[in-house]
Amino acid sequence: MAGTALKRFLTRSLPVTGLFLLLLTALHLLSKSTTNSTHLGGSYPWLLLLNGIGLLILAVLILAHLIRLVGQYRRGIAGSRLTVRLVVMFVLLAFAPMAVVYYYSLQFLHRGIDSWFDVNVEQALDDALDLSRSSLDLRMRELLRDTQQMAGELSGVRDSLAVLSINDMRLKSGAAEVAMFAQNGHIIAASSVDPTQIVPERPSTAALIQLRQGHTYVGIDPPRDSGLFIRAVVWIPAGSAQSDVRILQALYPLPGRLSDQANSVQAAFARYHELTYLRKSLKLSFTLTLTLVLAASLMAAVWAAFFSARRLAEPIRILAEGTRAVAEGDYSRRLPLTSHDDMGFLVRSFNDMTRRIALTRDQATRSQYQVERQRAYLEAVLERLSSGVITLDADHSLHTVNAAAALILGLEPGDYSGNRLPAMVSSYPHLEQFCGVIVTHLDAGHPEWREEITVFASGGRQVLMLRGARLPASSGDQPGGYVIVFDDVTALIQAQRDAAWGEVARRLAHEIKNPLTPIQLSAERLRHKYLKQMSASEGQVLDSATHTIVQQVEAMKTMVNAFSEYARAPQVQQQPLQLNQLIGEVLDLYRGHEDWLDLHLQLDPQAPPVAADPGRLRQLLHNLMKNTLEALNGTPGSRIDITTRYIDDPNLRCVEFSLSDNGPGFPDAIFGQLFEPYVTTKPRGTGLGLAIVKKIVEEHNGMIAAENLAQGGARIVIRLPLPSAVDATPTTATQPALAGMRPGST
Amino acid sequence: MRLLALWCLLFCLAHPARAQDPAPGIHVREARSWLVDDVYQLRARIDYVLSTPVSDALTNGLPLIIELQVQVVRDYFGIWDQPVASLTQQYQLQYHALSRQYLLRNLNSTAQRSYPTEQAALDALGDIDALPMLDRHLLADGVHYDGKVRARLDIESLPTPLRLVAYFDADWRLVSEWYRWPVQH
Repeated sequence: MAGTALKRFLTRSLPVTGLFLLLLTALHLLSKSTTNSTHLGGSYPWLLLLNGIGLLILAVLILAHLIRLVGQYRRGIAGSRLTVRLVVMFVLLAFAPMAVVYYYSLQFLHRGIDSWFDVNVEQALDDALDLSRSSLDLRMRELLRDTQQMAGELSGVRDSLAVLSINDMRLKSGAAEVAMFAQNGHIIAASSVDPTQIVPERPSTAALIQLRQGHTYVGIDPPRDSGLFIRAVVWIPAGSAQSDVRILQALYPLPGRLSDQANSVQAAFARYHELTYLRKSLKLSFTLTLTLVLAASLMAAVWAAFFSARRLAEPIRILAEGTRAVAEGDYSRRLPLTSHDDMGFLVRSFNDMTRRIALTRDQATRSQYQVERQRAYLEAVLERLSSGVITLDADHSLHTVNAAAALILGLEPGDYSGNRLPAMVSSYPHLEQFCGVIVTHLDAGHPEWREEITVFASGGRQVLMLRGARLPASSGDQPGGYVIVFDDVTALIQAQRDAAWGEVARRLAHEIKNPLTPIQLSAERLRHKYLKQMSASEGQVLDSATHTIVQQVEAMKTMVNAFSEYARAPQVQQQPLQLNQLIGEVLDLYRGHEDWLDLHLQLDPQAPPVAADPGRLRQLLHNLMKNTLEALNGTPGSRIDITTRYIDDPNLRCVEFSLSDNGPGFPDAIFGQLFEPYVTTKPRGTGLGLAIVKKIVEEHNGMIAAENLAQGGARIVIRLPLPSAVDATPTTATQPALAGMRPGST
Repeated sequence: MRLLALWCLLFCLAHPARAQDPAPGIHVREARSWLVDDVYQLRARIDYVLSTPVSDALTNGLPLIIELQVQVVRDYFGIWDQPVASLTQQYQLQYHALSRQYLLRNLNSTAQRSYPTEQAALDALGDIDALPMLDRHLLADGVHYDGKVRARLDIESLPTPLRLVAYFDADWRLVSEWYRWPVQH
């Protein structure tokens, strides 16, 4: 962590800090060169350029920061607003005192420079210069007079002798140099105090011009290394008409003290005037230097403001991004720990929080998954249950209705969630009793109850066994719902009844058939022994009586055999059987009634073999045909329709056999017990025909139903399973009901 | 056309002095070289007209450094010059308030002369006579050489505060064009 911070400092801050230090050094040197031009005067433009480049780099850095920040602000990046606020605040905090300091520094600077210059001082210097000039003028006039005197003495002296005279004069007058020139400027004679000075300096053009105008020239010679000199140039009058005029020039040194004082006054005057002239430039250069210092400081402060604001806002930006990620559901985001201060504490707390939220979410997801799995499991169980299950909310609204419940209650496929029981009654009137019983128990507040009810649906009478219980409260003060489990026990009750009838028949056959033979034998013995001994009239009575006994015993035997047949539980030998072929064979026996009966076959050639015992199935067909023919009773125009149909449904694969007639149909009085023994409308019927048919169907795990047709007549439908589905196909419960028909199980 | 002529007339009437005053600057009017005792000597006439700020600075005691640059070059097809010899003479012009003289000092030879007026000093400065340039033996026979001369005010020698102004003020940029002449030999 410390290494990262150091690396960040070295890569980001150090170069700019170095640049700023470099700039500061350059500014310092610039300031030095401004105040002292002798040392750094030559490098002034370079320092100026260096400072300008430094400031430009800083300005570019700041501009880059600014553009980046503005871009982030516009894009609404987290932390950018805080950064902007901090930058503005830092800049204002830095700018305000700097501006004040700058203003007053400028004021002090200008006033300081102005204070160097004073009218009195200037006047004093002017006066001092004038005084020096006056003093020198006096001296110059004296020396000019001396020179003129020397010129007078030299007048008329020949050139060859002039050299000696001049030397004497120079020594007497104290001049440093005395020289005599011809009018054309040629040197005639010269004498100098300096032996190395062989050639004297010629009079200046100005002096010569003055001489030609008839004047004399005296003036201060420009400063030399050995001090100030006074130069006097005069004409040497011609001594005779033959001789030429000459020019005499004398150079007098000023006394040391006077020379020093004059030089001092000149230097002070010149320096003061130079400074006066440079006043504006000085102000400008000092102002420029100060402005550069201010600009550098301000830019460094602005850069520092950007840097500091970014550093301060960085953890907040990271936090904001983390918060946004959490808001979008990403709990895996972990924020980098950049510091160990308060922000670091905040970041650690945030990471803990997201970790806990992620854990909680994972637990919730797992719980939800388990609940979903449990629910799917329960739904699967409910859907596979043969018992009907419905659950109700506390306000008696349906919550769950499983498939078996819908099947038993004859509900159309659909979602009944939220339907209240009264609404169900209005849609399905046959459920009135069913719903009434439930509501009664619910209103009574029974925690558990059980009741058997009989409902009359379109398919016939149904006996339902209902069991209800209150469900535990789902949460807190919310009351729990109710669960009602019910079974259609119609088939069960019928089976019990059939078993009871079978037992009755077996016992009847056993108990009645045994005494019948002795009764018959006794009656025949009575007839055989006493008929011959009786008179014709008495014999006739005996013969009639014994004949009746034997006949009735035979009838009773027949009836007992029929019972025995019904009660017998034969071993069904199932094998693949072509139902169409069997139907054809059986119906051949019933040909010969074409005068009054129209036998109409419509057999499905695609029908596969069924699993059936041929003998039992043949008996079934005989019973049905016999029953139908007896019902038609030779009525002309009668018609029997026999059809087979292969049903190839994923839930039901079977062959459906249907037999319908146009007879009178089943009487309503016995329609409910159509398949029960001893139910017959025929005077000589045993009442076991359809009961045996149903028994055979059930032996083959098939299904039988009967109905009266709307156009008249009756129809019986039998479904027989295919060989592969024999074991898996239950008899009644899971097979779809024969729509609108009376199930054979009733 | 008439309107233009009228404007010109009015301009000349309004600025008579300006029309007469030469523009500030340095102009090499003439330059030549002579061979004297196997040494090429330069003679040149240079006009110095100081701008007002420069003249003011001189009057206020600021020393001005004027640099005379002389080169003898070998000309390659008029495209490129190869310097054979270079010579730089520096003169210092300064006003001496006590003597009311303008001092002109040759910084190379330290020779000094004084002049009562600025113009006299500038005239003397512009009168270059017999300035030794180079030895004749340094030039190859049969090769054409050119002499080049120009003069300029040395801004770098000004006091630092004034230099800042001089960098950006055209009045301080006093520099002549190069003046070329063939070196006869």
